Amino acid sequence: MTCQELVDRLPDWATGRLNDDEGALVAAHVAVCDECSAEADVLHALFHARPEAPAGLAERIARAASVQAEAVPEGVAKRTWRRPAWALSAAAVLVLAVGATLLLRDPQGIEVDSVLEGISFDESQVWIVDDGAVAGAPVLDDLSDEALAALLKELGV
Amino acid sequence: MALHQSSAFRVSLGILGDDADAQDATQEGMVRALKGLAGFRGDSSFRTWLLAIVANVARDILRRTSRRREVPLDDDSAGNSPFGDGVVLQSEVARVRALLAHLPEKQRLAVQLRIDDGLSFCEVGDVIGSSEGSARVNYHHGIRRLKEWLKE
Repeated sequence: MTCQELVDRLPDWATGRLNDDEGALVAAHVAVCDECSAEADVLHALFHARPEAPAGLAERIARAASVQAEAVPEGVAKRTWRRPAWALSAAAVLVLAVGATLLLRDPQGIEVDSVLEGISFDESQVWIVDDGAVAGAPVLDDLSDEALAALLKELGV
Repeated sequence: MALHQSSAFRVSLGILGDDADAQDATQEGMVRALKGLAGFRGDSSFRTWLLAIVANVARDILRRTSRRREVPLDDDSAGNSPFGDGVVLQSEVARVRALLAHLPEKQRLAVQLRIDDGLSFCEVGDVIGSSEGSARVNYHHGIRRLKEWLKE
């Protein structure tokens, strides 16, 4: 393996994101190449000094999202909530807003249905806008089941 | 999701350079993403989509406040280099991270997103608003410059 062949993979190796086989190839080159070894040291240092979100930011975002959800515009018709098609989307949004660790004490092995069961919807936050779409909650009509499943997986649900 | 929050915070911090402003941008960006979730079509990763929104919010805040303090490399107040005598650094690791803040924005974000979050160059380009090739060039220029500074 040459430096040119390795250059795009070095960041993933230095940050532990390569699998064992690929990692072994990169490691073999780095062991005999001072230039790549020095660059890997820089990348490793950058990665380990990366800042994390401050404590409390998740709660702050959840509060801000809650305020947004409660801001029901005047003059719109309301209707009684029934389990709508966008419930799954709403679950995704709630997870986005508060984080899986806040919504669910034990995020391990959580099924989507159990997430939905754990969510209570306030009818006052659901209404129909003029074009017939449900407002007060996201609508992901154009998102395929596969894409939505991928979204939920990425959100950690 | 906690991972996304940290990624969003780092993007904001990389653009704004100020912790409090970065928290504001992260909050505003994530709430804006909530409101615009219908616009997510699944043709990019959710994380990339989210980070692009947060980056736009951070740039808006930067334009409004002009708060980021760029220290020129030849600024006497910081010595002859960004890690001159006027800058106290606790370790070599912190030193590298401090130098990152002195890169131009696109180089800085390209390095951050590639290293901190493991984004591909294509995804980096989506977040910083450039092509995959431009993202790769910005990354390599940034790394090269960091290595040069570290040798000084």
